Amino acid sequence: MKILIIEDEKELRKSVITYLSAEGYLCESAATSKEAIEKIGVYDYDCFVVDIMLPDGNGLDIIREIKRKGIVGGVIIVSAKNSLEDRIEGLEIGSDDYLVKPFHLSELNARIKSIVRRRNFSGSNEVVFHEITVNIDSREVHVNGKSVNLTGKEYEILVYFLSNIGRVIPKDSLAEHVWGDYMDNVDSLDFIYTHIKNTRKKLLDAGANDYIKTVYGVGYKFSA
Amino acid sequence: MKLLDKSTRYYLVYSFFVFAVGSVFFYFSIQQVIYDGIDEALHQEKLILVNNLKYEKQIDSLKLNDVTRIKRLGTSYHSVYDKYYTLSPKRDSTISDNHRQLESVFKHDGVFYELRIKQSLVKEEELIQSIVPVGIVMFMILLVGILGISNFISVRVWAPFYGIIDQLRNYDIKKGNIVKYEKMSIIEFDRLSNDLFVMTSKINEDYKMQKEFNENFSHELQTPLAIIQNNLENMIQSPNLKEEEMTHVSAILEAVKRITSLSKGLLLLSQIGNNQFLDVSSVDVVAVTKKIIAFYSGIIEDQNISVKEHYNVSVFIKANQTLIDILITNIISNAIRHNIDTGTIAIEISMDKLVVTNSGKPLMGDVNTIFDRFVKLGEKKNSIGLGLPIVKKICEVSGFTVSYENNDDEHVVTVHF
Repeated sequence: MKILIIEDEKELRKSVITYLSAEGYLCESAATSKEAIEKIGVYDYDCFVVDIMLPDGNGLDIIREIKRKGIVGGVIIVSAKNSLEDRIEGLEIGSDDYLVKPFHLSELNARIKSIVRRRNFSGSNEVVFHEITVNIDSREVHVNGKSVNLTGKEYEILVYFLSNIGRVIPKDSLAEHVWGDYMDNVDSLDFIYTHIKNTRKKLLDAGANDYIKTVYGVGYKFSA
Repeated sequence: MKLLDKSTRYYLVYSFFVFAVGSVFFYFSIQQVIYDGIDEALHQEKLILVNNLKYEKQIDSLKLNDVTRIKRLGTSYHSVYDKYYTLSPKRDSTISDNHRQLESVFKHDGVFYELRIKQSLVKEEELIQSIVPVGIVMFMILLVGILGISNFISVRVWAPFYGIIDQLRNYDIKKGNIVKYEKMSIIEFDRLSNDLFVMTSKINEDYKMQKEFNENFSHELQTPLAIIQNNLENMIQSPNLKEEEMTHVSAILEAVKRITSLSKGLLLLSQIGNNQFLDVSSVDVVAVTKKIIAFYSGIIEDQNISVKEHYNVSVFIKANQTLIDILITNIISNAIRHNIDTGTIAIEISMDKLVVTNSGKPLMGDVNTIFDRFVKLGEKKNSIGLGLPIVKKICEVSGFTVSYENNDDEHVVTVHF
């Protein structure tokens, strides 16, 4: 799968490429609006990560160009501005998601996975990891064919883990994913622990292996 | 007291003084002039009488009456003098009103005579006394005049000044209005108006720049924060990192998260202040509260907090949906965070208020500063201290009032809609 990252900050571009490449994606990048339009004209991409503020133009114009060309790839907007207008306009012209800087790479990865799933799966939309099967449409979780009853937040945690298998996920990335970025909720780190504990327990009780591992106070890792 | 009333009062006191002293002085000087005139007439009469003595051997043959009397004193020595004085009926029972009298001793042909001539002062005293009412009337006219002019100045001349004051009173830096310059005929007012116009324009510009600075700064902070965070996230993927290195990274990640929260909080504060949440609709406070309690239900259960909800099916208020979401989220998440194990939260919603009471440890520090920025009175060290300031700001722009009370181990936040 090919992703085009349109971002003028070199260091940011590099870190996104590093993370997503490890996921097995083929990543290309553009630092300017002009470069992005050129690449869109020549190559095919499955997904676009677009920074709104570029030195030579607005990322929204690139999205319009993508849509005008009839390219079906998913679009995620990345912006330093948490602007409702930009968000609405972005979604109106056909982008799939909106991320505000600073974002977690695990979050970006999960969003890309989600978009790809929505676009590629027709019929049953399932994520399978060993004995665990998650149906994204019906939000049902099965372990060895046996239904597991997770709360909304526990389900979100599991899907987030499944989107970042084998990666170390920082605690606050999980917290933000589950709680949103509500203000002054630094304690969400303590809160998230409860939910992970419960998720792990329910999966173990259902007969799954213990895939959720704690990584030295930094975060968690979901791996076989 | 108005400036003009103050000066008018001084004018009035001064005019009263001038009239009081002036009237007395005027009274006596007029009296003196009149006496001088009468005394001169009496003196002339005396000269005529003395002259007549040359022709008349008998003083009785002089035409004498009860106002003019002459007496022969003899040839022995007497001092010669002219004395003018006023006779009142008290001193001389033969008269019924004040008289001016000339008492004179003179020598004629070696004989001394005593002469007394008097003249009634009735007419003159009437004249003098008529001065008093004239003075009073004049003073009244002056009084009315001063008050009238003062009123005229107040209404007409000072009107532009009061206009400027009204504009200043209504001046609100947050609304960005200015004190308008208007050309004025009075130089001082014209300068005042112009200076205020220049001053308020400058203040507004600075304020706008300050606001923009806050927003721009928050935005500019996002990219470097993203770079730090993303590089760390890539770094922790390395299988070679030891536990100690991971601990360092964890500390950095937490610090980055705090800066991010701070930056987002300040941005939100300035966005609320900049009226970026203007859409007002009918918001169901109960529905929002229920949604937020459901959102935190996992933690509430985990901490064994019991939530008591006292409210009806729905309470609608006119407000911005996003702001109400943030407002109630901040209040309820505070009630959870600063709670104790097996504590309580009581939420009461009525048409005019929302009251959230929670158990918790006593606060440290000045409770009056609880709504100030960066004030942390709870035990939670990693709080950034912007939750309640945001609550207050939302209340400000929504026309609500918020208050906090505590007694021992209970904290009560009340929002009046």
